Amino acid sequence: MLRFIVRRLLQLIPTLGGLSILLFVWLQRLPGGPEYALLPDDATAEQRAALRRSLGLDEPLAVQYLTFLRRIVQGDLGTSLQTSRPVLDEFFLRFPATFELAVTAMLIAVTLGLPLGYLAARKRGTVLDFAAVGGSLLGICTPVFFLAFILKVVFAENLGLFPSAFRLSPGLSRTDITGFVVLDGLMTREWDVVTDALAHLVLPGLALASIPLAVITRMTRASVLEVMGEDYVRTANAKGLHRTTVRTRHVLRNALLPVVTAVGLLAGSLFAGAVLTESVFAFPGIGSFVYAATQTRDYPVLTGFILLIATMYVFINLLVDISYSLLDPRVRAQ
Amino acid sequence: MSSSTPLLAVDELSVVFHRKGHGETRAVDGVSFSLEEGRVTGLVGESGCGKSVTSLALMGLLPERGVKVGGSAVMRLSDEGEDLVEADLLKVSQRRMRDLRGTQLAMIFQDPLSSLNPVVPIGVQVTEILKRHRGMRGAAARKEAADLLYRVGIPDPTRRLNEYPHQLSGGMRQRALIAMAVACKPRLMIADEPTTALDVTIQAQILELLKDLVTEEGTALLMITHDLGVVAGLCDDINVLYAGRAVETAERGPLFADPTHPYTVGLLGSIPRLDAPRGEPLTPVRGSVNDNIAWADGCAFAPRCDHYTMECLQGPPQLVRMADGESGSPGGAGHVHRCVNPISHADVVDRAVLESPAVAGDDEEERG
Repeated sequence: MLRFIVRRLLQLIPTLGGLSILLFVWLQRLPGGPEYALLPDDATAEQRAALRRSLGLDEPLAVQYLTFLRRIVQGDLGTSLQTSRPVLDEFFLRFPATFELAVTAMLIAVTLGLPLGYLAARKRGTVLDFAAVGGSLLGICTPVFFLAFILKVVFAENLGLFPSAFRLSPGLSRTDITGFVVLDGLMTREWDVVTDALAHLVLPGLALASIPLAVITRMTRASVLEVMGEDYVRTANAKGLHRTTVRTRHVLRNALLPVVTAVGLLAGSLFAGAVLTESVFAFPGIGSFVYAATQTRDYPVLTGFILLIATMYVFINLLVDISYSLLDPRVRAQ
Repeated sequence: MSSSTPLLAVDELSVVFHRKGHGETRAVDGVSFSLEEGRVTGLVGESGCGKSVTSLALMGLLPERGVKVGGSAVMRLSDEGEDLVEADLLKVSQRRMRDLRGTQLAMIFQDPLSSLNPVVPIGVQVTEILKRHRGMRGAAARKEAADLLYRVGIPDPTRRLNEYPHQLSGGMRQRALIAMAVACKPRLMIADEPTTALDVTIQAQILELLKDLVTEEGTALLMITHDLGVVAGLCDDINVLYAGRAVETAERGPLFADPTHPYTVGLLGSIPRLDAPRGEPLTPVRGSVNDNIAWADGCAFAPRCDHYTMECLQGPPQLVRMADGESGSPGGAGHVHRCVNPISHADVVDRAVLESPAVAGDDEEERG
């Protein structure tokens, strides 16, 4: 198991290396540059060229890349062109919010999707099944920003059930330990902070959960249907086991295997989906910052953030693979 | 075992599948037979004759939707005291059936790999049945599970308890499934082609094991197979099925010595023979199981039969009991066939073959 983990971590090096080269080439290919975003419209060509030179953007791409690599080895991802603060600081300032949002969305998707998919399979062909299948189709088709907007208008602005923006209500004092509001609140027992932060997570969490929820529901349904027809389920029934034993130990345990893989893949897409959701709910995560960085061609922020998220993604999938091998002994053996 | 009622009496069992847009399929069309303790009864026939569906119907394992089961299958559940407790397996509630499965009747399936849960250790798959029906827990259950595995011939059973199905060989897997089936000493065991997925040497060992269980525990075994070698070696009574109906029923001796139904004769004639001259082609039953007509119109086998006459197509043929003198062997009284033009004294299997060790199944001494 340890060898497996080490091998997977070593795979990070070529993955991130390749990704960083792609990012360098792609980003520089984008029309425009920071000299247009950072300088006023009436700046002269000389002023723009001077800015490019001061940022080192006039050097050949290969030289820029080597400089980037030399810095990254020292743990330096560069400085944001917008804020003039280190990219790493900017990331860790915003990442906890996005992480909380992504975890909320995944929790919603899993806790609703698994039972829904399971019930749809058990009650195949009934109204419940059609509702689950149709609903998940709708969930996959609805653009996240549109759903986020609808949720905000209906539940925040019209019904006033949940706050419509930010991570916390203004004026609420909190102790910052980790940057994760809910976690901090739990640690310091500031219950008002915890409930307020959770209330702020509900609507963006639901919006972001729509696609993973739909995928998990459908995967669970298909997987349970398949497993219910397996010979070993017949054997379990032939042994006269209780219905619940058959359903949990024999059906669910096997049906969950493909769903676990899907959860890992979906976790990565959550960070991408977060950009849209965060902008609708003015949620102070990485999403809105990355969006702004794209507008201003903030190359260090774009490169750094994308590499950090890619690293996260690799770690999440490592966790998924480890849990998978715990669930399926056939994988463990190899 | 002195009781006059059989352990299981299956009477006019029928299974009809309804599928939307496909009409109905009569998979089993009025099959009757009875099982006795300590005896092996064979259900023989080619694919699609209804033998597996019969076993699933008895176990109550057919899907609930789109299936209609008719007839009765009365099982004697206990003969302690004077009171006879009986239950019709086809009519008891789902809940009651779950209590009966595993304790009164158990089943062994065809493909041992797919019949075991791949992600649950063998030990759990054996102990769960002990927990369910015998209320055993923890160490006691594990010890009993190890004993069961040992009894069915799995070496080093304590280590095997922690292993998963993919770590066992095909023969070991089938032994493990047999261990689960016999865990609560059921009085009736159904084996649905238990050796089909195994190679020949393992087949012989598994059949040996089943035979021992029948003789030692007095279990009744319903053996479902298409393999006449298995039938000859193991079964005491044989029912030959065709298109959902029994076409010939007899004890082993009379059936092999004196088959009367042309289908049985065809099956026996298609067995490869070691003593046949080199290069001589096998003689299969021509056509396929799909070339049949509805039993209501006549004999379903008629389109494939070499002996059919117009008489065969005038309504369903009835089961006919053979007169004592007609059958060549003793015990011929129970010899029944469903044919209007039976074959008499077919020369398909001579006595020498029937009594050879490979067929008669007394190869225990050789393997010793």
